[in-house]
Amino acid sequence: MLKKILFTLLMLPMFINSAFADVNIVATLPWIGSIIREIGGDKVNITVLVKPNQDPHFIEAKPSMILKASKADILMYNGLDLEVGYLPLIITSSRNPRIQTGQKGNLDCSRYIAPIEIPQRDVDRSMGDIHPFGNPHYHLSPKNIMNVAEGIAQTLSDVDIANGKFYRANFISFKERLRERQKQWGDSLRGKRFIAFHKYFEYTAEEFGFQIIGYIEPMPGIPPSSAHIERLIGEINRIKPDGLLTTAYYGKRETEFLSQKTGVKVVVAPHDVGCREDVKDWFALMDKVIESLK
Amino acid sequence: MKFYIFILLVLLFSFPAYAEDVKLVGGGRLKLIDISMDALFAGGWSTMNDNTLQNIQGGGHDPRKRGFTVQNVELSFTGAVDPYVNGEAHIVYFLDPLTGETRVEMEEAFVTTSSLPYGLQVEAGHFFTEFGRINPRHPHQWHWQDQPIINTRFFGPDGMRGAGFRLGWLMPLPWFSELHFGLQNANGETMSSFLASEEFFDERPIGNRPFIEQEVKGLNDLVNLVRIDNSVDLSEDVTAKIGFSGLYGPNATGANGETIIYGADLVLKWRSAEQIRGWPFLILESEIMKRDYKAAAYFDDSDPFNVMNIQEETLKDWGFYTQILYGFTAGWAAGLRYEYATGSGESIGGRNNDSFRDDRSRFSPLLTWMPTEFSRFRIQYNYDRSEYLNDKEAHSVWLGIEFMYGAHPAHSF
Repeated sequence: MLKKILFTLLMLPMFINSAFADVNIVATLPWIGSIIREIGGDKVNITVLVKPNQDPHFIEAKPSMILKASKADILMYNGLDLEVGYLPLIITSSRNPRIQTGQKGNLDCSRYIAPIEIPQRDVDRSMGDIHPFGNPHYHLSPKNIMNVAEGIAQTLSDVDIANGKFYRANFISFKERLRERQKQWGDSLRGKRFIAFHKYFEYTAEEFGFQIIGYIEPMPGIPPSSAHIERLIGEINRIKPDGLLTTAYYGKRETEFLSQKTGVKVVVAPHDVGCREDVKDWFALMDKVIESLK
Repeated sequence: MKFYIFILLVLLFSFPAYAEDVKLVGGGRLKLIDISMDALFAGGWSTMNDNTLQNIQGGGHDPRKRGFTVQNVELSFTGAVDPYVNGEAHIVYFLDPLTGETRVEMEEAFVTTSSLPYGLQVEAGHFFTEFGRINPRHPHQWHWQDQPIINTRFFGPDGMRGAGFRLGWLMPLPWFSELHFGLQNANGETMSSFLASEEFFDERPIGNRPFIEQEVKGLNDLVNLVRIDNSVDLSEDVTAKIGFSGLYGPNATGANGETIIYGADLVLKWRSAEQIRGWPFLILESEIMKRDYKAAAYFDDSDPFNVMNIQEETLKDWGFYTQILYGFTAGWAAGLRYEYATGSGESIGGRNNDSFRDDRSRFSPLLTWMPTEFSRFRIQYNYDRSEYLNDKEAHSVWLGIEFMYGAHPAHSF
């Protein structure tokens, strides 16, 4: 009898953990959802709040998002103030103790990367939509994604202890695939020079050795005036960059106009998973970004 | 026994599978209090003089003066109090449109729990009553520059707010559904349809009835709120929200006076899934509400030449507003609002001579320009038809300027 009780007691954690089999994860951006799928496999349910072609700076906290967050075991987000307009409201309104700031179910993915462009002097909004903690668009960088994936694996193991080995193994396999792909992506972008619409590709440039020598936005998040566009025409004609770089939701009209006036081609790079039919996961996203920049 | 020790060891080692910890690179910061400031100013002209404008533009933060109005300069403070509650306070400053005197109001100051179980949330302190769509929101969150007529009639110039607590329950349903129960003090100038205050009745007596000071004796002397809020995403681009609210409490006409207010509100929002800076969008918003104001009988023969004998009567008022706003290109939006308010049961001196109970309608086209997320320019025309006015109609044009700085504003639905 004693043996039976002891056996049941010992096995109890396993049952508790198996009842916990599917971890509910709410991710803000599609690329985060894609990395979670790589690490979490079929042990996690993923809900992504932002649609691929929405401007991630201007999202409204819809009640359906609050409802999803209220049921989440883990909330994973970009951080560096990218979601500052809606995520704090969602977290508070969700009244979900698991995902409150400081809890293990609250994962700010940017904690696993080294941000660049942290302002070295005082900043305020007269400089546009400045992110005081560094450039928040860090997901088009294999180096950063490697770190974020490890952070995701760690968080999943902390919350879903029973499947820790599974997540770790998936991370190791992900790391190997990523190293393999890095070799394929190679060095073909080194030395190229672009003018970009928004500060979206700085991490990619640093890692792949190309340069972004100017911006179409006069300041981050501030749309260019016609006088600014006029000045840019002269500048683009003078420095002849390899392309005018933009994304699907940003400044297509301005970039196309500048291209017509200067003859420099427009490069519309995919910016997130799912923004085009052929960008099904983060690997495909990087493939297409590099392909479009070549 | 060895067998169980073996299992125990296997279980122990199969749990935390990490040999090494992931290195955290990014830093943290101490967040104590988020401060922001939002200022609303208006300039404009009306066919009505300033005294009449106090009645037809009856909201305390409406543009309500020929020339310029300092509508609302609001300082907001938010932050985490401890692991269990978040704090919020909003202090408003404005100038009295007639005297130019400086006024300061504590608009709200409350705490909200962040991690109660079962989807529960408690709000406690001094706060706006969660009735409908417009009342719980601050003036800078409204799309139009003035508050709807029916809100002014039922909830007074500054909106219904008071000290108390509210319990919210996010119900375990497949769609967003939240139930609220609230209990707030019934007295004070911001509780106009309830116990109100003598000062409020001096300016806007409901039905022109006399004000009777009343003591709070028990729970029956507080205002009770019930609200249910539901929301569904009809598609990726379209979200609907529908709410029903009810209020019950004593009123200022005497011991037998009581008020019931009930209403429904609807919001339909389309925002393109391929939006740029939040544009384009289309927002349809409507609210309808009714008030049964049971005014108690009043008898006063202290002055034998002016004996007052007013019968008990239920004053019934209702009204609605419906508005549509179309964000047609980045930064720009155009909208149209229509309002109607009426009632039954006589005010002393006649209902149609009572500027807060007469038959009234208002038609307000609006054009908005937002150069950035932090500033807004609006131009609004109001065409009023009101039984109380001598000419039965009024025309007003208001140009509004808003700017905000400080902590990033929340993009609430």
